Amino acid sequence: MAWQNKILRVNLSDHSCVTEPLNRDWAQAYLGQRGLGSKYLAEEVDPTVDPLSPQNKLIIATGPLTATTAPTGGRSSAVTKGALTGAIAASNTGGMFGAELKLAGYDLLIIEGRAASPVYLWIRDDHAELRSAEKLWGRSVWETEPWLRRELGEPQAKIASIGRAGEVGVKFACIVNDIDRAYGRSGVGTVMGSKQLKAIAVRGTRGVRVNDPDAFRRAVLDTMKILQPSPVRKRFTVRGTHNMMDVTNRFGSLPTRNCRDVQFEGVEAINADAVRVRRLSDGKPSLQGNKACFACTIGCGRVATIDPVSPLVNGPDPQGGDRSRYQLPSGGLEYETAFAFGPMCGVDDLDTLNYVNFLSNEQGMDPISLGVSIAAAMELFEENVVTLEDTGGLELRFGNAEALARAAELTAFGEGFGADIGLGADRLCRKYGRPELAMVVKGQEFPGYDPRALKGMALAYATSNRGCCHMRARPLLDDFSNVSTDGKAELVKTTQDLVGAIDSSGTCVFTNVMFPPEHLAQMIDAACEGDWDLERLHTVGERIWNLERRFNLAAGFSKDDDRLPERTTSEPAGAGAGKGQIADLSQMLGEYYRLRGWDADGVPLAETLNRLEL
Amino acid sequence: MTIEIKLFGFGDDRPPSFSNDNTIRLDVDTPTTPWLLLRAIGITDATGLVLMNADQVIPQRQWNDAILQDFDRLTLLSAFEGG
Repeated sequence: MAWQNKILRVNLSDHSCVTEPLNRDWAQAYLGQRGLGSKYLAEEVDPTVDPLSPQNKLIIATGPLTATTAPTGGRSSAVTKGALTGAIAASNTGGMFGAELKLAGYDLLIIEGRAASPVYLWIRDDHAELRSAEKLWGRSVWETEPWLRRELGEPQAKIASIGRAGEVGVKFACIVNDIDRAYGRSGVGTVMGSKQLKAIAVRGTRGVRVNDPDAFRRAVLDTMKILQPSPVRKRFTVRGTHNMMDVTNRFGSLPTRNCRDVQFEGVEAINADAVRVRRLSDGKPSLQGNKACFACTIGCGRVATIDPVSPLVNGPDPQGGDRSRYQLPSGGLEYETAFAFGPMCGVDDLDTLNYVNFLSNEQGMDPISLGVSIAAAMELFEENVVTLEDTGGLELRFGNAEALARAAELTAFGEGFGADIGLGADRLCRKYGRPELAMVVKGQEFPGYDPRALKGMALAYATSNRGCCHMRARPLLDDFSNVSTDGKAELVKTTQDLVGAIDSSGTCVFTNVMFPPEHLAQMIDAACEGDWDLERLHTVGERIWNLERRFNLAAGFSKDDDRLPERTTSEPAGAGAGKGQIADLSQMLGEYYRLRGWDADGVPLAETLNRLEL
Repeated sequence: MTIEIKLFGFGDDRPPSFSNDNTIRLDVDTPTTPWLLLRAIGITDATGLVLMNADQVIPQRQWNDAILQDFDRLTLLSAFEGG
């Protein structure tokens, strides 16, 4: 129950689509989504495989609560060996696509091999087939979704697809679903592009059965009674994640100009208040409203427009079309997109930030990695390592909004210097002989929290199995009030385990600050067979973390990869709560390894693996 | 003594005493603690709140003990775990 007990396995090499039963023992041990997808990947894919080879697999995994009425029960994950990092990747999305896949009757979709020519996958309940995507190759996400609905005659079909970035091999390409939601990080869209799979369209008309409907209804209602009046829920609804920008800036943890600085002087032009300021041209603010994913009553997603008189939305675009499509409302700035294109690049032009965000959704690029990679390119340019000749005449200086927009366009299409930016910050900086300028961990770019003041986040970044990530642990609230390394190892370990379980449930990790995790355990217990409580969820999360760690160790990662960029460990923060401080992992990392039951080299001990039945 | 408090991250949820501004200056007769001061401006729930004096964080466990000084400039952050 709650699981559909069915997997769809699609082999692109021989064009086969077959169903098979879900391994229920694994579902009991790994729950779903990130955990269950990772288990299948670890069992079926050699960790040393080239991420872009046909031997790598791409798994779209739902959770037991996906497509139920559990609050935020619309999540799904894309699991693969990441093209950006070479590490295990599990990128989590909302929107409607994951729920539709579950409603079609599948827990997991396993995609293997490589198509000889571009294809898309069409699933309608029990029916699944591969069709030619020759007409779609070269098209954007925004063109692909309506085209497929027309072609299929299914206006209710939900679609996940790649844009040009995934086709041309941008290392941080993502898979975009529902126009502006995405399996965002680690290059999962690059893997999809390497398989010549343009899109997945799905229509599901089945329900999801839960184990004890009455108990499940009670558990959901009890949870809603806490969620709805939560002031944090209200803040997410009204202000979105963008609200964080003022906080990190004042605290001195807003990565600015490729982490040269920790505060940005232009923040008031691009923060959550700025998007509410009415424009002179049409009297409307940039922010048009908010929107929610499947079964979500939070609605943290933003909807925005660009000033209609901006040259970014008028005249010809670089591909010979016109820019009028950018005049329409679309997914707006979240905190991470605003940080990456704004402070990190030193840009304070709101329209440009919205434009580059639109472009990221349209062509399928992870906005965090895009912004941070452009920031690295800007520093290379300012250091005279990259020249005007390299950039094709582009003055890639911090603060140059026009250059930011043009660099993003070039990257999306793999053209000119954009092909170098599309390598990601790590490969870009290595190519030009300055690896220390890449703000990355395990090859993945920094999110919007500078780790010099935020001690727990420093450890969370360094130990994240998918490369630098702010969502794999939840130390932030403690970090803001406790600028010390004391207790952070245990906090990071504990919250990593909890997040592992939430990421595997089918619900959104944002809920962890809106209702206690015991409520998640109650909903899972009512929905699924087996006895589920919070302790068991922590064990599942810990098992997932160790499974991911073992995959990465087998892929060639070691304790030497649990580290932060030199800048953050050698150049003290210049302002804020961490003024004069560096990110120092020396004490926390050893303690963290001990708490995890790993040896001094960060390798899980046999007793740990036995305890977790790995 | 005069103490300035500046809000960040509250949006429209700022305490009523702030009107529509994010900054308030308070005249306080006697030395006071952060928690007494915050209660005086209408804050009763400390969840997610971070208090800084200049660039120094005052941990919540010290809100009943720390003594504020004349011309202290406090910052109150409304923080949550966001994306």
